[in-house]
Amino acid sequence: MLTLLEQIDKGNLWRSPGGIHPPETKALTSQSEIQTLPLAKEYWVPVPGLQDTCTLKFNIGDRVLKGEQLTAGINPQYLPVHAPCSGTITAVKEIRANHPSGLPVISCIIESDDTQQQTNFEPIDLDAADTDTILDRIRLSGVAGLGGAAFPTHIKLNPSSDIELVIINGVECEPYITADDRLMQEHANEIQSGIEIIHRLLQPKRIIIAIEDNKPNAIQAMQRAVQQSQLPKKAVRVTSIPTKYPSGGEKQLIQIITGQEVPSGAIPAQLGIVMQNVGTAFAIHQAVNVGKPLIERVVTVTGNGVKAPGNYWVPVGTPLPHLIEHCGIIEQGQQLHKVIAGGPMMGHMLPGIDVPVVKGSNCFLVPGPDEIATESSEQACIRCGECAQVCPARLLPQQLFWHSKAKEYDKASSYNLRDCIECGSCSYVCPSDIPLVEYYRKAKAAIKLQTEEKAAAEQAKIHFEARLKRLEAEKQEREAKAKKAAEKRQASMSGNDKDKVAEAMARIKNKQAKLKPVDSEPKTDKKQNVAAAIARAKAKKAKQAEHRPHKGLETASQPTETKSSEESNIDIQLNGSNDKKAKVAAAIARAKAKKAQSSGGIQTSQNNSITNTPAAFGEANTDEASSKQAKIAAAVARAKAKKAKNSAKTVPDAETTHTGSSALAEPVVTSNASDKSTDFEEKEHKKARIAAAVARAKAKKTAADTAQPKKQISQVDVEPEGDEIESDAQTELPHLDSESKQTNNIDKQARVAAAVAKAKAKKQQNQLDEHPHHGTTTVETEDAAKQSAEQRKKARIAAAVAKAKAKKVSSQIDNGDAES
Amino acid sequence: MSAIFTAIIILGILATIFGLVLGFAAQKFKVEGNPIVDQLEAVLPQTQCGQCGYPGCRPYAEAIANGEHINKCPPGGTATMEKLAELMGVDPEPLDASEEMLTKKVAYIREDECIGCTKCIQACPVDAIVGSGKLMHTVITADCTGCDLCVEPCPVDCIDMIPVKTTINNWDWQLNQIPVKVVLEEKTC
Repeated sequence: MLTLLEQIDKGNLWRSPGGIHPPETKALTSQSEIQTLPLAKEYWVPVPGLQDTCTLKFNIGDRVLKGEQLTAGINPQYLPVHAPCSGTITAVKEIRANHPSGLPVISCIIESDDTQQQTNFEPIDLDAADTDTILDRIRLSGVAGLGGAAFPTHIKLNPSSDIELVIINGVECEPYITADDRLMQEHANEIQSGIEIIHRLLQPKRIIIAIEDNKPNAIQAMQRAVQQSQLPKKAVRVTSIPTKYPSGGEKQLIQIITGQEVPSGAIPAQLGIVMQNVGTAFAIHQAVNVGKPLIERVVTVTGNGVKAPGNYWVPVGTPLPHLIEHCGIIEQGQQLHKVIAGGPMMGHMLPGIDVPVVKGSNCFLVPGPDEIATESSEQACIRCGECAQVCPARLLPQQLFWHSKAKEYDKASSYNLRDCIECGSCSYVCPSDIPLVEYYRKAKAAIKLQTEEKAAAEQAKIHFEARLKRLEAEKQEREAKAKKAAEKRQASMSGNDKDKVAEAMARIKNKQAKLKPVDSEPKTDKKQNVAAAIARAKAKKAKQAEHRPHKGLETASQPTETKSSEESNIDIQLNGSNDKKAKVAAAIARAKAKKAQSSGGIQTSQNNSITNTPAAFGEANTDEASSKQAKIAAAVARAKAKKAKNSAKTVPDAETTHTGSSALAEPVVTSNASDKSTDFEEKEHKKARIAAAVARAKAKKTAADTAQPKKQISQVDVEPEGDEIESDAQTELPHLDSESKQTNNIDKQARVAAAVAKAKAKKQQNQLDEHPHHGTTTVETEDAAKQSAEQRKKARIAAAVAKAKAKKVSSQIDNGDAES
Repeated sequence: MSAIFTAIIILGILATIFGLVLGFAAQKFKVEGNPIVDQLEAVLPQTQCGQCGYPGCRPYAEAIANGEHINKCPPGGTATMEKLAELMGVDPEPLDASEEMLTKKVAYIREDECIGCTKCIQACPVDAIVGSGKLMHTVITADCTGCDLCVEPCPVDCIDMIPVKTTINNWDWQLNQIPVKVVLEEKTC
């Protein structure tokens, strides 16, 4: 049994499965030498991954030399891009990619100049250089696989496993293409030196240059070159293989040369095999021995659509229109409409011809009108099985087709869709003209997308869980910290401290325990007071009800009377609202009780409130203390009036709007109001309120004066103001009378007045708070100081009562609305 | 008579032995949680977006296992819904999402408008936003799941959801989607 290497040495070949024999049509270009292309006006150099995996070394407007490195990668494995010509970078923009999708890719536009100045190409001294230097040079020269996939060559030349066999692929099985053929014929020696570099890097046992037997000239040329090589005999040999498509495929060629099958999902390096294209070997030679980066390649421009088909040295980045123009288009009606990038089997139709030549472009096919079969519509699969016979990967194209078409990608995957090399043999033989490869490509793309999404989802899940974990850890850390701090605090306290804390806690508890009964007692007192107050209030009401008929004649200077009379009136009219009224009365009484307590006694305060309120108008200016009381009484009265009115209004809901009307109504109203029994209540309320407001305003003023001794001097000035307000209000009264129903204005004014009053009250309070010392120490006597303290209390009480009542009133209004 | 007793005793012993074995097995090989939840979760896209109304993919998987509708995952799309339907043995339901919601998007922070409040960072369920207080933030596009949870908290509205661009790397090979100029072809013969 011969070993593999012995069999290889003997020239044994194996059969690869499947394959087809399409018309070669290579004669169009195989006989003419490789020509150089005239300089294009500009070059479009794609720089994929710009700002992502690499950066541009130049700015727009910079001049670059031919062969200068344009990009610098972030990744050490990055394959740089070089300037194909000397010139100026005019733009970096997206242009259509040389890709079946035709999607834009970011590219560097270089406007060429005529000098074609080159950078200094420095060859490497192979004897002195080590492997890394050579590999680095190959990388920095941008050498990529020129067979079509453009895989970075330096990675392939630096495998992790030992390499036994290197196959130099000069098969070029695809119809039409002759670029490698011509290159081998014309540059066999350069290719040979490239092979020597590969040999040096990989140290394989054998290097086989595989060439299809339809290229006898290339075989001869390569054999001559091999004989001249300095490599040991037997290390390199040229093997001619039978012509069959797609024997140039990597896995197929390995099978033909070694009989071994590259496992699914594996790379040849795992079998100890590396394959390089002849063009790549040439580029390696150029990079290492000349120092010239990969900036041009041989491109076959062929097809009956061009006048001068042939092979050209085309700089990478040359716009395709320039190349095709140079070859001359044979007019097909109006315009060039079809260019196939790559060969007719594996190539793709370009969506547009405004694309650049890239490193992987080995051929552009411009078919004549009768050259490529017209697109025929897809027929149903007839299950003839032709495709399965020609499949070089021994797949089941039918099954793949069904599942791909049905988008059952997992099932397609289970039929090893990923091992499809997209050679197009199945489509070629399909009698139903099914574009099978297209289906496979779609399915592959979808599977790839799904896999990516799944990986992304997995990543997202990991991130999410890590985040949750982190948040939880942070929370626990915080808690632990707080706990630790608390413990530390406790620990730092001495035993006495702890006792003290305990004592303090005990004291606090005792206090609280004591406070509770204390709180409850006053409540009962209050209740009693309230009861008493209610009784009193009722009695008052009854008394004042008698005075009612005379009230129309009475002046407005008796707000308390009017209020109470009106109250009694309501009492009589609306027994239904008794409860509410009672409550109101109770509240008032409570407030009064408080007030009384603060001023010394319930009885006296009540007397004061009764006696002083009439006096409020007359005496407010002179008697400050009584004015305070008057104010309070007035506020109470006003609130009561409101409440009474509201409770009355709960039935006639239409009038509830008037409840808002407040303080500005005038005392004079009463005279008219008494005549009109319907309006009476309302007017009374208003009157009461007005009186109250006026009284309160005056009281405030006086209080403010007492609080601020310095201002007391100007009391005289202040008083007239109060009078003015009064008089203003009075002047407005007649209008109110005449337009008794149109109270909108008054409502507003009333609100304004109320707001003003409130603001004043606040201010006054503030002033009192701010200047308590001034009040006691300066101009004022001790009496005044006492008074001011009393006044302050009273004012607060009044304010609180008023507020509470206002709340109640508003809630009553709400209730009334709800009821209505 | 003794035969009957023997039978009862033997059966009793056997029952005891098997009971013990089963009891041991129940303890030893206890299955934690519902295994279907893991399978459901594996199908979900893990965007953690909360568009289903649950705070993450796992809670939704648990809800599905408990009978929740399977059509509430817009990021997963129809494919995910169908997988869920298959797993749960229920009929597929039309997806509860608009077409716009189905396009994959990623967040983008207009960096010159960012005030560095870190609110979006706190909102991001997958830690795909980097930045620090009073310093500009930015989105790690590769990690962004497009859940748009960061858009709402931004006080200056400087976060946009940008649809993912189709490039030659993620192109789906739908050749007929490319606007190809239709040209007249001269038929031979």
